[in-house]
Amino acid sequence: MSRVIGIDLGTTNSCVAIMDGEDAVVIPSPEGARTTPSVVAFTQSGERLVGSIAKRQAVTNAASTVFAVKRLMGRKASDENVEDMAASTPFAIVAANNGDAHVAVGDRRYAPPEIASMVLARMRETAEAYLGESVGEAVITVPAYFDDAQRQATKDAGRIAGLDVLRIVNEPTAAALAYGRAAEAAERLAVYDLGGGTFDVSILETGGGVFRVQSTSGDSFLGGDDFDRALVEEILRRFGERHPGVDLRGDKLALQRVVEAAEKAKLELSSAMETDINLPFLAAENGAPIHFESVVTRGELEALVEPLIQRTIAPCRRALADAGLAAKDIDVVLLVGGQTRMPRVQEVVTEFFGAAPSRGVNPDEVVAMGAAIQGGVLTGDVQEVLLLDVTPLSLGVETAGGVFTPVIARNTAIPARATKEFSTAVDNQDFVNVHVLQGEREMAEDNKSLAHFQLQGIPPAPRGVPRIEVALDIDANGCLTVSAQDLGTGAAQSVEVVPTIGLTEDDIERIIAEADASAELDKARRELAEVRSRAEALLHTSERALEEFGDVLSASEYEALKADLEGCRRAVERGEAEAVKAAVGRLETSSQRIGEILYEQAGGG
Amino acid sequence: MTSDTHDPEGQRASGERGEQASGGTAHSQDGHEGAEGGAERAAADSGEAGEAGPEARIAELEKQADDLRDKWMRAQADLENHRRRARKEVEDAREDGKKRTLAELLPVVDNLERALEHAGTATTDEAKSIVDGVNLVMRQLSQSFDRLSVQPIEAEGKPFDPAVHEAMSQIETAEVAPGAVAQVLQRGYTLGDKLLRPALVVVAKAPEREESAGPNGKSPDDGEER
Repeated sequence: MSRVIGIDLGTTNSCVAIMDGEDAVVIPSPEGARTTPSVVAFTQSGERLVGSIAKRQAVTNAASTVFAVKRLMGRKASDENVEDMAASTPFAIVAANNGDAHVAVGDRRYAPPEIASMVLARMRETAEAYLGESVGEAVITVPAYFDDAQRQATKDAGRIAGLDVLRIVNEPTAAALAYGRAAEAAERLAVYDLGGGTFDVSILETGGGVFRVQSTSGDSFLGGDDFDRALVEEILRRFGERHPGVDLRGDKLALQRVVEAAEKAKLELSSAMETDINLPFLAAENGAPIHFESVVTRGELEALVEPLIQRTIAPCRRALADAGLAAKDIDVVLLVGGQTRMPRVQEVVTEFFGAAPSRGVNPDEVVAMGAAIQGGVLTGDVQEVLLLDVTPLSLGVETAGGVFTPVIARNTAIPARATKEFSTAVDNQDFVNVHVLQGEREMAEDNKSLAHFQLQGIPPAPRGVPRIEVALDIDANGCLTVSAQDLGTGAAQSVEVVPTIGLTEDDIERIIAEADASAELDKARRELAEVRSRAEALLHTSERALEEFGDVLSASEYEALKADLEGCRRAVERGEAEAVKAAVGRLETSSQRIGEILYEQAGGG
Repeated sequence: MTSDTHDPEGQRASGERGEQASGGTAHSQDGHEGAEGGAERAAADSGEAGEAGPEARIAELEKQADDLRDKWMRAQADLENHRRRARKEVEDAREDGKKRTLAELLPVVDNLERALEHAGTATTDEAKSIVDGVNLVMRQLSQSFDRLSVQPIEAEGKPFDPAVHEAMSQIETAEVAPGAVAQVLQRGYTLGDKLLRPALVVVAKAPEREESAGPNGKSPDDGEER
């Protein structure tokens, strides 16, 4: 039985977890890291790098190092968020033929799901290496505000990565699951998620087996990284006060040491009241070394970042207002994201909601763990939680005056079907346009268009007389079918909604084929690297053996070994895996002859 | 559940229907042993009550047995995987402990090295002798690292390799080949075959800027790093 992994596909970092008996556990990468940077790079030699290794080469290859692709998922290039992002990223964001935002690297274009799939594939490999078995199914989390196109794009990414995506789960819902909240209990939850680069707050309501996301808000450019930067600035300010003539900003290494010291100090101040920043030989002035030493107290750090913490309050207010609730209506507050470890953040959250937040689950890993639990629910390994999927946004049609009329309200548990009757707007109108949209805004144009079709052949009648029934049907997988029927004539028309954004089936098939091909290429490259390093080690030991003990060999054996050595060296230079392998085999046999003779002599003597 | 072929409701339901059916119930109760024979007999005499008859019961039990066998095999497999993983986890934990300890110590080593870089200016005999002493401490340290299989990463002049090098910046130079490490800012280390800390390096690029501006109309290295 293949297991279901839970993946938190993050903007900056991703995390994978799995059910181990009763518990969700995070799977560390082979390098021992519990999260993997969501960074993908394409090198000049055509190699594809994912994770830390991609991050480490970013400055040398900035135009071909793609990060934060989550911000592009399921979005049009003309989207203002995308335009903002395009202005600041060193890699190019371009419009695809259908207007989707794509990433251009060299002369190749990548759909965001393609890039995301490379991160997901890495997470899958991490899980497979840990479990020692292949993994085919996954639950992936997305922000609660993701619309249909963004969710579909995430699903596509999973498919390209060779994963059957059983469910797309909202991040706050996953967090609630990991905190052990039951969907049966009637509760109101606030999920406060302050990550590395983004802040999200969601108001959830549970009951009847459903987690309903009532509202979300946030700040997509506020996170723990800003806290680090504030402390770095403070350290630089203190240094500048003591050594006005020395500019640390121009010294990459010194700056890097300050950044690391700031990150460490920030973490320490979550448990200690003060910490020492100790940077000997940080710089030099007139040839004399400058040492830097300074004490930072928790209070000082808090004063520095207080404006950042206060910036989270307005989104919390908005989320409550959108949900029609007051802070006191919230029963439980859940903390997600590493920055929520800071005591002052917890204090501010407690003050605002009037309830102490739940703790005890690692806030960096809680979302991935929740995804794993959801995976366990789907395979039947976890029984206590019943969890239904809901539509994240309202679905409806455009009516007279460009008004959006919802047919299926958001947070309706799916599968769901709903109908609404409409009529004509002018006399003798013989057709109606059905424009299907998704969103919460009042005007159709502010929502996301999903499909257009026409119901024709309506018999002449005064306006308002014909009765047209529009039915929206979402199946368990979230696929939408829309039909319209003239109740007078019985004439009907229906369409399966294929998002006008995102990848087509053909695109996905093509990308999967390409991914397989490049996986083979990567494999070949890896094999060559492995066999080459084996060959180099063997060359080294064989040469030494030949030098030291070559005289025990007969002249012909000596020559044969030398020939094999030379053959192996040439094979390594040519760099063909098979040839190297064969040469290594030959050299192994001929060089072992030395050992054999030596042992025979030792045994005989 | 509407079908009465499932126990225990099924047995009770058929029991109420009279002798024939209750005979069937008896069969299914000892059906564990005489399953085959029971099935034939039941097929012959159960008549219209057959839906609750022995063959259904046998099928039921066979299914149960299959289910249990399947569960048992999975439990076995799980246990085996668990053992294997537990061993690996112990190994990883040991490795991880070592990694953490060493990672904490490396900055101290860096600073000792920095101290020695500045030591060339020592003039008095006393100062020189202290420098010699510290040099010996460094040698001792590098021997300890050897024994712990901690190896410094070769970087200077080597082709930039993000597996073990972290690029801090690029520099235009003709001294080393483009794409090679021009300068090591901080030494990196491996622990066995694992990376302990990447070397922080400056990477060379060709002096004339032949590469065109980025596709955005920006040069590839302006803008934010991440």
